[in-house]
Amino acid sequence: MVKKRLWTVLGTVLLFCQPLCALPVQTDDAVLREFLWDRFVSLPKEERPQIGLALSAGGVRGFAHVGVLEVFSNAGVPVDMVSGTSMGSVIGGLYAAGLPTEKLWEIGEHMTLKNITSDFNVIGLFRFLFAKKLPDSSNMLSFFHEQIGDKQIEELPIPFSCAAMDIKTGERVLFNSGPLAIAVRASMNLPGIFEPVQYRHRALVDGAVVDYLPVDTVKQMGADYIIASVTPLDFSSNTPQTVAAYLLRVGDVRATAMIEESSRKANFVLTNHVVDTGTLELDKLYKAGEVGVKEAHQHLEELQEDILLFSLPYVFKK
Amino acid sequence: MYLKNKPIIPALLLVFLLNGCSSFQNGFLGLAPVGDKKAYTSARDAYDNGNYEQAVNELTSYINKIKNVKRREARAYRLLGKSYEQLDRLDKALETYSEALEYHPDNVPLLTAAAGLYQRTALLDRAQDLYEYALQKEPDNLDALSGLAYNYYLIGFSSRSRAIYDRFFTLNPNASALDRARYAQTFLDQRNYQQALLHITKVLEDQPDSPDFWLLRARAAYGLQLTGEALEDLDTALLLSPDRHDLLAIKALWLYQDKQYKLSTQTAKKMLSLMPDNQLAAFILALNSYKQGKISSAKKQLANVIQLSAESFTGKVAQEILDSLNTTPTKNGK
Repeated sequence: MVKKRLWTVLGTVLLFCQPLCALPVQTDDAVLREFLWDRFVSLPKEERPQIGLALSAGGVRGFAHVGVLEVFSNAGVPVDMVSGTSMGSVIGGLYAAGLPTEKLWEIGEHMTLKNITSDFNVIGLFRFLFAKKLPDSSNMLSFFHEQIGDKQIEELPIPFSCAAMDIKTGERVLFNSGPLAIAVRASMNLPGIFEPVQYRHRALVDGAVVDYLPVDTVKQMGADYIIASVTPLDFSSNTPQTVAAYLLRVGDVRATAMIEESSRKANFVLTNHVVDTGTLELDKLYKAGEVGVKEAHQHLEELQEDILLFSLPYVFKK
Repeated sequence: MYLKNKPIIPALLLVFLLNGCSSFQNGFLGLAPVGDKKAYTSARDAYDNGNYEQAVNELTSYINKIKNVKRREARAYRLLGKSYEQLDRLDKALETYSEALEYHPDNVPLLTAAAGLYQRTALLDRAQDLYEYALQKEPDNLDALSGLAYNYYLIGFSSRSRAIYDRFFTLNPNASALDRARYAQTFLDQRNYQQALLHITKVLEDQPDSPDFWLLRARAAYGLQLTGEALEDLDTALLLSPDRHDLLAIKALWLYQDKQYKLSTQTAKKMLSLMPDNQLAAFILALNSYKQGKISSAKKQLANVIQLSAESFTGKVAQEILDSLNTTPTKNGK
């Protein structure tokens, strides 16, 4: 059969005499990386280091994490546990619940503020002006139920946690069990924009204030190797024009320091520079996701090499 | 009132007549039909025959003869840009397309040509914008669909790339082998080896003379754990391109994985005969020596690998393994 095939090939070469070279020749390092990576991804979970993913906060910018997850999923980068804050908790929670990246992209294309609150209207404005009540983010609960049903964190196929802050005490509140939708809602509940989430005698707001990039949490969850996906702040945009924007900016400045500190504890950091995108500009979700794809794809080989060097004894044990 | 303006009608007719008169290169009022067809045809023939310098000269003069810039033909600019691309004068090609798009911003063939050049020069964001704009104008434009799909593949957005290719192949089931090979590659990147194998097999029916396509097929088969078939495909690729060290290296590594240590060693030695300082070949020899129980040879070979380059990934892996061999006592204490 092989001989027959070879003659066919030779005949065609002579006939056309125009070989078509479509791919660049791989370097030696690339050949070895690909070979070792195949061995690594075929190892059973318990026979290799546990890889954890920390997803930062960042509002709409945080949708870049979907792009990162897309690249990881294609390349077979294992994600054994996830912790996220704010938008990181939304993406991480849905992913840990088993939602494929295709579905996450769909959410990015169709998500509107109505999926979070129904108070961004005239009634909401009156409520704010006369009853001094901020908009309520409870729509997020039904949004989550629509996507994944009524899931508990401890039931998720991939271990997950997320952080919120108790506005009364300033404490960080870590959710690693209980209803996923409530935890995620609390973690992404922007202070000053939405009413605090009342849960178990606590008034919970966005965890970004205390744990912008939860690398430590992923470590505590048992990860041996931690990848951080960060969506840093974009200070190139104009001076804030509204009270809310000023408040968010103050938070952003503090967040920058937190990112720097947490990044140092991660093994590998992907920095997704999503520019010119406001925290709640939901029509820019998809574009932010594309930034994540580009960043992760650009650094994928570097990441694979780093993971392989970290896991070499396991790879060659096989 | 209509009758009062009657004398103006013959005057207008005269103007249109003069505009249409091809003997006036620029036409009366500069509104004549553009250039002479013969000049364009001659330039196109020069391009088709590979005389790109001649095509550039003829097209440049053809375009510049038309003083009213808005009347300059998009197709002439496009051919000029393509000629520059063939001559590898990418800056001039880019200049040509940019100028042309100022006058013909919605011309889809121009948009796709410019996007293709941006893609070629790794300006993928710009390429994406132009392809997307072209598709707004013509949603079923095949060049734009295939270009955008490949662009998404290049930035690593495989699922999006595959979705656009799906549409492209629905509209154009008999697309070129290269397009189908790229489609197969998007499946391969998503570890969908079954679909990758299906498509690349189809490509090879039309174009069995490309070692790259055989390599793609080999990868798909290997992904499906059809090691024997994958090695056969690699052999076919090697027959077409016997000196490609990447093919030899992949073969040697797959043989090693399949526990065929002697054959793997032979293949690595062949690599070394072609490239005596090849680091990966030396590394594969070391792996095989270790598996065949020749620990001290393996250590020496690993040291040699590191000496060739300690900074490369292969060098770093060799260093890690050598360190671990040096700290792990062997059965005979060596």
